[in-house]
Amino acid sequence: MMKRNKEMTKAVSLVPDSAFVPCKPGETEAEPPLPRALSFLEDSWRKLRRNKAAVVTMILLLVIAALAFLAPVIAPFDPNEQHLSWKNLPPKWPHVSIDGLNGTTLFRGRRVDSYALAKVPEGQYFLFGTDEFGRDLLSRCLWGTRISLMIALVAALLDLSIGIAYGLFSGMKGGRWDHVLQRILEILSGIPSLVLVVLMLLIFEPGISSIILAMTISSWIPMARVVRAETLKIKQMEYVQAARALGATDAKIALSHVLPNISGIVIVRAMFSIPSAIFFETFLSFLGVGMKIPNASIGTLLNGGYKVFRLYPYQMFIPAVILCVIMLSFNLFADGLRDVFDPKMKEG
Amino acid sequence: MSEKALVTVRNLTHIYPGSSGKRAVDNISFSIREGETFGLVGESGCGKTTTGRMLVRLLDISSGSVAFDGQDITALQGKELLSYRRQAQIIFQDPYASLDPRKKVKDIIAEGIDIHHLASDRQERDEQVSRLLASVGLRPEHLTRYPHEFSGGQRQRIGIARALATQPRFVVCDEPISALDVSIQAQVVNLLKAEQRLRNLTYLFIAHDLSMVKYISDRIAVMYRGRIVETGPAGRVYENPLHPYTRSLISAIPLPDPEGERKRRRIPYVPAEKEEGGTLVEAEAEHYVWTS
Ligand SMILES: Nc1ncnc2c1ncn2[C@@H]1O[C@H](COP(=O)(O)OP(=O)(O)OP(=O)(O)O)[C@@H](O)[C@H]1O
Ligand SMILES: [Mg+2]
Repeated sequence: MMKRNKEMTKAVSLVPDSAFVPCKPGETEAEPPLPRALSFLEDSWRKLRRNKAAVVTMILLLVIAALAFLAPVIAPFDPNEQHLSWKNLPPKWPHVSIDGLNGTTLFRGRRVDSYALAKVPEGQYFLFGTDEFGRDLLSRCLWGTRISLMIALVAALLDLSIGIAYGLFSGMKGGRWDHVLQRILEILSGIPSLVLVVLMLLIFEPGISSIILAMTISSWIPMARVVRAETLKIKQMEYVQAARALGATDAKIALSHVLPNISGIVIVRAMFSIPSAIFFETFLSFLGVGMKIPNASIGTLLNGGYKVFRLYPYQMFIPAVILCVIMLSFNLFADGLRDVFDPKMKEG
Repeated sequence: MSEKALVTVRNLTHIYPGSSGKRAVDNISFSIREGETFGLVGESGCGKTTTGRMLVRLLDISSGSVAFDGQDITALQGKELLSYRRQAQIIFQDPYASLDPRKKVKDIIAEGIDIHHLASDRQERDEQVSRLLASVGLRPEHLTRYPHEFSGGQRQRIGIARALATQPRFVVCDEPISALDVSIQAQVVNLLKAEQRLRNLTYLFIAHDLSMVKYISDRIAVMYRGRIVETGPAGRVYENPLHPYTRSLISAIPLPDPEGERKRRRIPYVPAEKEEGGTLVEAEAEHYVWTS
């Protein structure tokens, strides 16, 4: 014990006396400068960039969106223009001689040049082939993707407008208002959307507008639920109590405190609801109650393709792959966003 | 400090909805004089926060009344409530939960200024915010930072600046130091004291240990299970505790002397069966104790 004490004194005495300066009152409060921390957006972007799948799918989605947006300009043909003599041509790519991409078809065990048979002029290529009416599948796929992305946009907008407004209002008001609004949601979500769309066919023409109408009725419900639950949670936070004590109104609290704090979860939810909306449209169009027939959508393309799948597999294969890529990209990207904004949700 | 009561609480009761009639705060009365610090102590869950939040109208008042500067504020609405909110502010227990993580310090402090239109233009607003920031000992470059960049003590000081921004007369300090490191506690308490002197503030200072409350309070009320069991001048309650629960609390204050600490015995408090009825009785000048 004594020895230890001595050692301690020795260690302490190594520091020269001149290093000790009496402390003036208030000096202890001097704090070291704060290291600059990242803002919310910078931080999110950094985390997102680290997720390879999210970055790749983000780029992919941007490319797909650009192609779809530019469809009227870059599509080589009018998607509804028929050339009956050029029907069911397989894909043909310039300078590619792989079977399946060189415009030849297997016919009685021999490969025949379908393009020559159909008297397609030299230098005319259909990269994705043509369908039973001789329409260019590449152009139709571009326009079909456009429809899918438009549906995605509508779904996101509905989520972000009706979904958020409904959830915020219900959560902020609480009590009886909340009770009534939640029961209304339960009734709405009890309506099967497929039945709804079929019923709407009685009144409306089939087409994009009736699909959107059906989505308006129910697609935003999960978002409204999430926003309400989060609002109820944030409402209890002390910083909201502080705002209330300062005299902030409910509307101000909702917009300036609750909304910014749930924005991450909202973005993630919106991204996750997009693939199911795209699939909803595809499904309806495939059944023939969605997009009207001559118009292209992934669903109508699949419908046309599956009928001739045994003979011309590319007619179904290509739109199917496009649909898969779009759905997968949205899902993986949403997954990446979730890891950034809402890591707790992962288990759920 | 004057003799005039700024806040008068009469038979205040709070029942949380869905708690099957249990009174979180049960029929308490006290008054706080202008310019004084009124300490409210008691163990965890005895209803201190509930009381404080009722006083600033964050929680409904189930029954009883609160008067502020002669005006009954129990049922204020609209404009009048807003004007009361400007005058009565609250500082929260948890400095990590009480600042909006998505707002810059500048906007956190300015929220009250904006709501009550206390600045005529942008420049005046910025000036007020800078002055508040400086008065709580933070530097101008902190203005554009987010709460997560600060330590607990710094955050608590931001919370204090936010409360002071509306130029209140009355501030409820709900355990403002219990979440802080001991070394930081004195800093925050001294800041609160200094601001009180400067602005002639009236405090309701909530805490769960008596030592700090005794140091900063003029008068103390001891709460137990939703009731005030003893109230009086800080020195008297400390030196001459009358209620057994107060004695138990005082016996639990750690001593800075290891020898004494080893010998000392804590007095456990065994509550009598929850008796109905009973009142506060004045045992000596201004010193009341609950008796049944
Ligand atoms: N939202 C609520 N709903 C129902 N009961 C509650 C609620 N908040 C608090 N209570 C109950 O009310 C009583 C008083 O709580 P209060 O928060 O006022 O205690 P406190 O004295 O501030 O405690 P602490 O020192 O832990 O902060 C407790 O028994 C608690 O369980
Ligand atoms: Mg509390």
